[in-house]
Amino acid sequence: MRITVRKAGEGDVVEVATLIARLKSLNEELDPHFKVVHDIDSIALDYVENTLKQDNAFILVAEDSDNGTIVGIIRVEIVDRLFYEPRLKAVVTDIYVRPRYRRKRVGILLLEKAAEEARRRGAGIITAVYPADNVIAASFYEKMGFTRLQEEVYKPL
Amino acid sequence: MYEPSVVVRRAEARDAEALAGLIERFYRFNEEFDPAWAVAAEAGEKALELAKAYITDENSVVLVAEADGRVVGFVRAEVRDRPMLEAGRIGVIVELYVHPQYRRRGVAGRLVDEALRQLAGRGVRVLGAEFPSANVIARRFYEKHGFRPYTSVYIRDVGV
Repeated sequence: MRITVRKAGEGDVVEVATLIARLKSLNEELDPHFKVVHDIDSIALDYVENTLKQDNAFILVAEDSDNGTIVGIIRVEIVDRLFYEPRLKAVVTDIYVRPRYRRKRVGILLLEKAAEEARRRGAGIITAVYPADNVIAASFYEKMGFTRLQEEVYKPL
Repeated sequence: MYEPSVVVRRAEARDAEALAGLIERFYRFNEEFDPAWAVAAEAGEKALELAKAYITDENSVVLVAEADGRVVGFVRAEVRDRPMLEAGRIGVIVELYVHPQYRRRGVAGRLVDEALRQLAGRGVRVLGAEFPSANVIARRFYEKHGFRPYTSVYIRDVGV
């Protein structure tokens, strides 16, 4: 098995959207306040299509070269922090690897390639946002050397 | 917040489809924790077959939780006999799932309590639970409900 990472293109929209929807459905399992919308599939398609048109966001895909399937994705937004140096931060909004391709360093590869691309775009730091109860994400980022930056608190209205 | 009343009862033939949906969700969730839990391509059909088989299986206790007139959770515990042991008859929870929208209101706890009650009536002396080692949610739940680590299952790829 050989995994290659490349930028997502128009032809990848459906597959990438499927993985985004799976990620959101996983988050739904972890906290009832992440209840997914009933039309998640079409929302995910729009989300991916819009991202590909944006200048301040990008998606990379990991592809199994043996069969051409997309086995993992990472989506990053470049955000201007206005008040803080370095001004530009890269935010990993979504990262997902198909379960059967786990434990093969695909997530690490995606994150490394995304960091390279973010650096090329002038970002000085990289952050990631995930549900507090997503221990899979928490242990991944910890292993990758990330530390806590800020908290998001909530209460239902 | 509106709290619907939850009824826990034995699974019946009319629950097959709802049960199948929950079985599939259970496996799709656990799939996230280890590649050896990866779900088969035809999982949807298999889930319905399994659901029907569970409902009539005499070697397990299968309960559903019903709220707002729909099945929102289930538990399946197998009865296993271990002739060499004093606590010879053990119940093992192999599947337990509550729909995300009905979490955090004690539904799973009620399913486990009722399973315990029914298993006790069948001569079961201890109750176990199997779940992916990396499923911290499951571990926290069982520890909160008085379970302790008992058997560890390790796996490796066969590599052929």
